[in-house]
Order: sequence, then C-alpha cells, then structure tokens
Amino acid sequence: MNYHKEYYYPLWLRIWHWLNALLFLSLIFTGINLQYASVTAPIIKFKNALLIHNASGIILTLNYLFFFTLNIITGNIKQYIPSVKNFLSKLIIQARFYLSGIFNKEDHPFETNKNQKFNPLQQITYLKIMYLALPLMIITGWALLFPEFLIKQIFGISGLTLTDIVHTVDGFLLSIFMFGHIYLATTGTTVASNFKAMLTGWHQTETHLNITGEVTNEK
Amino acid sequence: MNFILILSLIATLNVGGTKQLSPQNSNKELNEKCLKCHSLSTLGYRDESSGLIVNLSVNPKEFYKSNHKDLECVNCHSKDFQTFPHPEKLKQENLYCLDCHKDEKEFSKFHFKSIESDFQNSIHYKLLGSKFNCFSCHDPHSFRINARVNQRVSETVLYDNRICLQCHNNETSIYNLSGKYLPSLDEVHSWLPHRDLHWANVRCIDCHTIPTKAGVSHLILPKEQALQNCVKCHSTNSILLQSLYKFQSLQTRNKEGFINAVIFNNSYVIGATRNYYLNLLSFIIFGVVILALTFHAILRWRSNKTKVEDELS
Repeated sequence: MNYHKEYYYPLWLRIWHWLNALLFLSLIFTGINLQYASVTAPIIKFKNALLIHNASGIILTLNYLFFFTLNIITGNIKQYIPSVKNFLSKLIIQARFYLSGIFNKEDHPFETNKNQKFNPLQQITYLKIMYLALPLMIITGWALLFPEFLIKQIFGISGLTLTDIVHTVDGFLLSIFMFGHIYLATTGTTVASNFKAMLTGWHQTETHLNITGEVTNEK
Repeated sequence: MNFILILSLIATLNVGGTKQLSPQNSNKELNEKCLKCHSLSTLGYRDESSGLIVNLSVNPKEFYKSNHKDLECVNCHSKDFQTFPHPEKLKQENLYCLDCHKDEKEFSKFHFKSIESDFQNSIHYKLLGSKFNCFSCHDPHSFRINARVNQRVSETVLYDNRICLQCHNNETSIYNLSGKYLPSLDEVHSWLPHRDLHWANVRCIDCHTIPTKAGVSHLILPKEQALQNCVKCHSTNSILLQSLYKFQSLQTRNKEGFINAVIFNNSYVIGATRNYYLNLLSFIIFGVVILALTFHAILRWRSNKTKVEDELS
C-alpha cells in the first residue's frame, strides 16, 4: 500500500483544536474536582478549581466563537454536513468497520481527502458535538456563572438545579466523547499518524493506484 | 420623673384598672391593657446613663404570631407593671430568657443549656459582656423559631439573617453597642464567589458558627475563624446538613444524598448536590466505555500482530 500526504488542517484549525483539547482537559479535571469535592481528599483547592474552571470556560467560549466564525468564513463547515443520500447505510458500513473489519485487515471503507476529511460517523458525531453538545455546555456554563438571571423554577424544580444537571450530564457526555475521539485517532495509518497530522497539518492518506496508474482516493 | 414616656395618650387609658386577672380571660384581653400604650410604635425613652433610646413599643400583630403569643405580659414582666404610673424601680427589671427556658422539660429539645454555654463562648459575649444578651438579637415580642419548623429554607435564611443585619448592616447600632465602626459587609465578604447568592441562600451563622448540640448554634466565632474552606459546605458531607438543612434533610438524604432536600427547597450547592442514580449511571457508562476501548485496542493489537506474522511468513 502506498501513502501520500495532503494538507488537511490549516493553522487556525490546529490552534483551535489543541487549545480546545487543553481547555477540555482543564474543564474536566476541575469539573470533577467541583462535582466530587471532598474535605478529606481534595485534589486541588475548591476555590482554585472554581477559578480555573470559570477561566477555562470563558476561554473555551472565545475559542468556540473563533472556530464558529472561521468555520463559516473558510467553508470548513461543509465538512460537518453529511450528505443525506444513503447516510444510514454509510453509517452502518463505518460502524461495521470499527466493530469487525478493523480486526480483519480491511481498509477504511471511506477514503478521505482534503475536501472530505471526515467519514460519515465522524461527520454526524462532530456535528452533534460542535453544534449541539458544546454550545449547550457553554450556555449552561454561563448560566451557572450568572445564576441570578436563571429562571427560578421550572416545573416546580429549581432552575439552578436543572441547569446544573444539564451542564453535568452534557459535560459527562463530552468527556466520554473525548475518550472515544482520542482512541479512534489511533486508528490512522499508524497509531500516531493522526496526532502528527493535527500537529503539522499534513495528513497521511492511503493511495490506491488505478489500472492506468493514476493516483486516486476512490476504491 | 425619669420615664420620658409619651404620656399624653396614656392619661386617657385605664392602664391601672382594677379588673382582676382570672383564668377565663384570654391573654389577649389581659394584654390589651398594656398594649393600649405599648402598641404605639414611637413609645420609648432615653436612658440617662447610656444616652440611648430604649424602645418600649410592642407590635401586637407580630407578638400574636410569635412563639410567646400565648403568654400574658406579666408572665415575664413584673406584676407591678399593672399599676400606673409604673413604679420607678421597675426600670431595673432584669429579664433572662433561660429563667423559663433552661429547665422546662418541654423545651429540652432546644438544648437551652448548650445555647447558654455557646453564647458565653461567643465573640459577642467575649467582647461586650453583659451589654450583649439574648434580647440583643431576639426580640421576645416577635421571635419565632424558624429552622425547625419552616419547610422553606429561603424563608429561614431571610429571617435569621435579618437578625444579624439589624446591627451588622447598621453602622449606628454597631457603634452604639461596641464604640467602633466595623468595615462594610461588602468589603469583608469580597473574597466570596457569588457573594449575593450565598447571602440569599445561607445564613450568616452557617459560616460564622460551628455546629453544636443546640438546634441552632449560638457559638458565634471571631471573624478570623469564620468558615472560608468552601469544601466544608460543597461536598457530600456538607456541614449545611448539620446546620441549615439539619431539620429538612434528615429524612431524605440517606440514600438519595443531598438532592431531595435541596430540590424541595429550591437550593443547589455545587459539590453537595449529587444524585445517587445519576452518579451510579455515569460510573457504569464510564466503566463500560473504558472496558470497550481497552478490549478493542487488544483485539486490534492482536490482529496487527497476526498481520505482521503473516507478511513475514
């Protein structure tokens, strides 16, 4: 099998991605410290955890706005929008690959290129994460930062408590996503290749030579 | 005449009437004689030694809602007050709550002995001695127990904090009592995150006392010893469970944790508000994900190994 390199990830995207990753780690660590605060076994001081969590949340918001704006300006947003045609069957093909094909030396079912960087499963996951779960996290986070503006009661339960539950559950789901995301990043052509790609911008892609010797990404 | 009372109205009233107290009279009827004058909101006199105004006014509405609503005035005050003009010596009357409350069986659950020793160890008593007594905080003519009976914690917080603020948010009161000015509450609490939210949802005494045997701790600490360790409240074993939520949460917090007590009271405490089932579910999901990823990684590693061996052979 041959490989060639394509420039997938421009500088702005890499900066956003790694800053986002660092903020995720900071928010998860301090978030756990706040949610499971303990007198006997404090990981870091509650007050410091709160300060770091709030500061990280504010930077995350700015970073998200940076991503949101440049994603539109550069047209990168198209990567996130799945094509409706045969989408479900494409999802099943991709899932089947991760569940069995990957162990049977099969190639990735969908080749990627700089115009189509994500496979269908990545597309739908990233779309939900970036345009649903993360905005919800940011909105509920800001609401908890200014609880005096929250609705006092929703269906007889404190608006603050409900907001916190949504924030915590969403945070938990995003943490789970991060574990899955990091693990699946090791399924590139080599274990480290996707990590290198996100550092350098250059993605290593499998190349298939067709009968005429032309380089193609199609199978 | 040392009493500088508002006397103009009193002359018209039958305060020193001859009607005898009898069991069939309700306390309202009996108290009416006193309240004819003492319900005047401006009734008071200036104490010559301290120069301070002594308030002699009693709000009947508040009194008949208070814990002492069934009492007659003369149950606590000297019966000599039934004569008018009141004898001069009565100005020296020295009432002490625990004369009634300390040894009565029906009050044993309130642990008044503990309240008394807490109070004597409190910063108020240490700094001000006999200038500070029960009545400095608790107006016996309007006092109501709250924490024990009120289902709405927010009302208890409001009621109890008002007691502290009547002095601590009033420069003149503090100066009259202590002879000094204290820094503003805003200033000394500026370190506290979400300060106003804390003030609206926890009582001053939740941070400024340590829980004692008494239902409501009266051991007010010096400001340097006030609670500043967030985790003391913001954790599962929150000290609020021994203080503010003591009476509400005893029944509900065993298995479900803090969540029920706080949901019902519309409160939320980071670190303490945890849901047992959500916690359990999250640990299970997290465990399953980690196991699945590990299992997947092992299978990948094994298949790669086979692949390399196949290629070599």
